[in-house]
Amino acid sequence: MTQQPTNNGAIPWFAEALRLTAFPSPSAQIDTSTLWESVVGQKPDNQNIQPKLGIRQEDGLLEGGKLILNVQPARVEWLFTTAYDQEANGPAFEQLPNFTTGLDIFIKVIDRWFVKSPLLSRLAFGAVLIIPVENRALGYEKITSFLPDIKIDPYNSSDFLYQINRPRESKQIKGLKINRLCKWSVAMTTLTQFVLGPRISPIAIPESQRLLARLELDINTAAEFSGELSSNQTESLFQELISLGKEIAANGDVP
Amino acid sequence: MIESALKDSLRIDETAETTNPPLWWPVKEGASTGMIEAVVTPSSTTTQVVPQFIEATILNLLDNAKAETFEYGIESEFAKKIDLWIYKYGDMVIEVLQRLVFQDDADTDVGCEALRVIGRAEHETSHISRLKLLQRGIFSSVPQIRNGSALGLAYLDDPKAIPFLMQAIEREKINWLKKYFQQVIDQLENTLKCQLSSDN
Repeated sequence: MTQQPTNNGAIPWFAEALRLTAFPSPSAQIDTSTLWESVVGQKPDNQNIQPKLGIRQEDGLLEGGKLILNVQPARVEWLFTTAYDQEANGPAFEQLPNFTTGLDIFIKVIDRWFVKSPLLSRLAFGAVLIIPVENRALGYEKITSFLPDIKIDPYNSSDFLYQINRPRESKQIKGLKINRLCKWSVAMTTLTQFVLGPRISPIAIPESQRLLARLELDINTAAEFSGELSSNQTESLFQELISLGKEIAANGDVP
Repeated sequence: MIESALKDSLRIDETAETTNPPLWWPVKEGASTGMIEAVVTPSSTTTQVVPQFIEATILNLLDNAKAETFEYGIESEFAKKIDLWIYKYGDMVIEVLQRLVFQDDADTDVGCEALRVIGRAEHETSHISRLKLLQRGIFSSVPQIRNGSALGLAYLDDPKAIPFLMQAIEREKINWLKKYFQQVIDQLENTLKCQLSSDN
């Protein structure tokens, strides 16, 4: 019998990264040269353009986080993630927004992008969500509270990684399959500084070590879909993808 | 300096304890949050980092093919090798070809041959990515690439390409290409009729 998750629908996660990935229709003609400015309203802090390959990367600070635009020939990606903390000399993990607050910030940007969005063939909402934990056992207890059908002995287990796709049909677009791919794990992260020289030597910074219960969401429309998504459809579809992501973050792995 | 070095921060998953790590662990770069991803699934939309040996081999094959003459009815060495690599590494090879064939300074003869092989390859798991690549190719700014992509679609024989070929005809300014696109549409419509009649 399937047990119910014990999180009572609350969303306790912090958002390490939020992502929209759009796959333009093959017929779409896209000019991304002014995309950042028209969506964000100011110039990016950094820019990396490789015209021959059709690659464009731009980023800038946004409400305590970092917004990144990645454009590749068949892919446009907006990513909202951890900013760099000058004082701590590392990513500002302590300033991570909770999932809901992070989404509010991210969606404001994405809504402006939808107005300019070309016809799409595929759309994805991705997120990396974390809950800091004191030790691995507590991490496993936290993770298993979201995985009603999984039993782990938290004190005598390690290397746990659970990945599953539980597809559903879209409520917005009839016949469209939505992949609900998620990965559950407990991760240990350590900042590593690379000393540049004749040999590149990595030096781990022990005090930066952190243990995290980790959920990676990749909610996306199926690659098999052969139609085109208009700007209006895309906006409501993205809301649907987010809502499915929130459901998993709150209720765990349910069919 | 310190910032750029620290930006390369590495996330170490618990699986680092394994004694048999995979030969490659793709690390997302640029916009990365530093995650290591060892598993790529068809339902995933995270950036797929192709192992370097595949990228390097395909690049090498495309480069060497510039010296080859492609003749109608004769299987080129390049075609045989690309075919084999698609069979072995599927979507990852298509991902690389997509980048290299549509690159501004790519050799168009080699590109056309690659597009033909992409359409002809008998590899079911990469069917969708091959279809999407060829659909994109018919909107290329280079006429030879549009032609090669239409030829690839004819080989692939998937009626899902019909709406895109119809859009391509509307945009096409070169008459013989318009006619060729129409021929491919006619073929795919026949395929669709056969599929529908066999379903009934």
